[in-house]
Amino acid sequence: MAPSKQTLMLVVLVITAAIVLWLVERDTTSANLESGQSPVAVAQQQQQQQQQQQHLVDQHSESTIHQITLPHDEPEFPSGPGRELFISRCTVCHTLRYITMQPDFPKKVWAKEVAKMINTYGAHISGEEAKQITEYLSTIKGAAPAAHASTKK
Amino acid sequence: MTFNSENLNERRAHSDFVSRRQFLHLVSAATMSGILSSCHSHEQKQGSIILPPGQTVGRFPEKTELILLTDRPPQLETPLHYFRDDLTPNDAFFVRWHYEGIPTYIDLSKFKLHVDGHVSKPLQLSVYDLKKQFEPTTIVAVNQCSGNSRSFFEPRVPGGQWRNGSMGNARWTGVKLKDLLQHAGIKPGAVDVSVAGLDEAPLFNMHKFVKALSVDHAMGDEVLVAYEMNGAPLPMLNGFPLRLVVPGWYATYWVKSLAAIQVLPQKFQGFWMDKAYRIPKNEDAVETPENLAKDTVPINKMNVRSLIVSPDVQDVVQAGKTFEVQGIAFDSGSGISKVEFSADGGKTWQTTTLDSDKLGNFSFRRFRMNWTPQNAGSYKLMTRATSNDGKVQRSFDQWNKSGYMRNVIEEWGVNVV
Repeated sequence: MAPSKQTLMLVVLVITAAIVLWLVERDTTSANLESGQSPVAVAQQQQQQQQQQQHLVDQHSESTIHQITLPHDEPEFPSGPGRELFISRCTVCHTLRYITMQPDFPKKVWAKEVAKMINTYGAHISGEEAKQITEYLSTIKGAAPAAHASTKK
Repeated sequence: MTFNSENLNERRAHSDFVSRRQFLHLVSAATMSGILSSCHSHEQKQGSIILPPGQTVGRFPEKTELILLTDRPPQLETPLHYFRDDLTPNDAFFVRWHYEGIPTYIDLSKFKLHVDGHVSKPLQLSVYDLKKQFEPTTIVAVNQCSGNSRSFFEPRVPGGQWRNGSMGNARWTGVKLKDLLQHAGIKPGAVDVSVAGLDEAPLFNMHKFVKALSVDHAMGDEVLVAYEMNGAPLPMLNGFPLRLVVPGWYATYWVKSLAAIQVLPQKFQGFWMDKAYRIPKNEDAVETPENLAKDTVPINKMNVRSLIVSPDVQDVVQAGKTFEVQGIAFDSGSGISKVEFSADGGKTWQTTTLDSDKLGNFSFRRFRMNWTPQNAGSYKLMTRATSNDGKVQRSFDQWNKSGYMRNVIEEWGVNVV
């Protein structure tokens, strides 16, 4: 039994409405970004609004509430093989400043660090992903093994 | 507030692969530019903070400008010049958290410290209860990160790349842990006391940050549950509203935003004692990259060390004129008996003058030395502290894979004009 013309019309209408809604939503977000406001600025505005609201709360409750808002500023990393994996897996738990503050290390040391995140801390990273992340880390912060092995002795 | 890394990808999608040199440039530009208003580049702020080259300033709530290591979770280092004062100001005191899930909102009308486990009368105490029901105690004590000075180890080790500023000295006020445990009716057969804060691991399969002290240590006189630091409530980032104070022991035991104390009838088992913060089982925690220690123990008491704080990089030392070299020394609480000074790279040593020990044996002890370099040129200054229990700093290849417990005699390069 073929669906009636009316049913088809209804389905088409619902789909169109969904698409229109999605488009409007998307445009609002990118309009914010395109109007010279970085995502950080947008987030900061929201943060300021929250702080203002909190200020009002504080005034009423005679300061049994103590609150801070943490700043956050993620460093940028160059494109290259493994970059997206590196960003998506590592930022689950911590800022990438953990990487920018490190000196250059041989690949072996980076491999150990990635393994430590997986085996010791329980990061959700597969073996293949770990290889690619190690590769990327060695590209941006790599050192020759010899340089590292030469101890003071 | 989170930053969406996807946007970064989009913005940089068509840039070609960058060389490592360019990358370093980029990263330093990114870190120095301070995308956030709260992170300034040091050019804007010269004069108010003395910043090691290549470091970034971070400005966090209730804190002054500090050296930024990471911001999620926050790790902030105290610039060296703050150690020219015996007590480190609260807003300049270093910050180190393990996980991003740290407390940023506390309602004191709801906050409770739980004391339970192997006790006859479990307690739930507000900060107000602590102040009202227990005798306050005050102690001046050094709080030093296990990995303080990690960046000076050679070969370099991964981890928080601290210089000498992941430490501070403060006057802590609170109640004795002993009093709380007694009030809760600690039962015979107690072995360990575990301590945990409000911070949480980012994923369900990760281990909450929990530390433990032996019951004898916990029942000692100097361990406090502190609600004040230098006469004021603790900054949120230093553990508001309560922090465990374990004088003489590394900061890893000084659990911040302390909320749960549990008495255990058996040895505590947990990741942060059994797997992390372990040191080679020998006096100076020494091993080599080729021969890692097989026997390890949880890090515990601080070893004796001394550091020069003046002259600092910006100070001008002139030939033929007397300059007062100044520094601090401390150990795990036996106290400092002597600090010696060398201006010739360790060939000859002179005894320095120590300030009074009125702040107690767990505090920084200041030493001073009038030094008159005869000629212009570069000098290697060194200081060597001896503790009352007879431990002496040495010059040796101290290394361990975690970069803990550094206390070698440091060389302090000074250019005399």
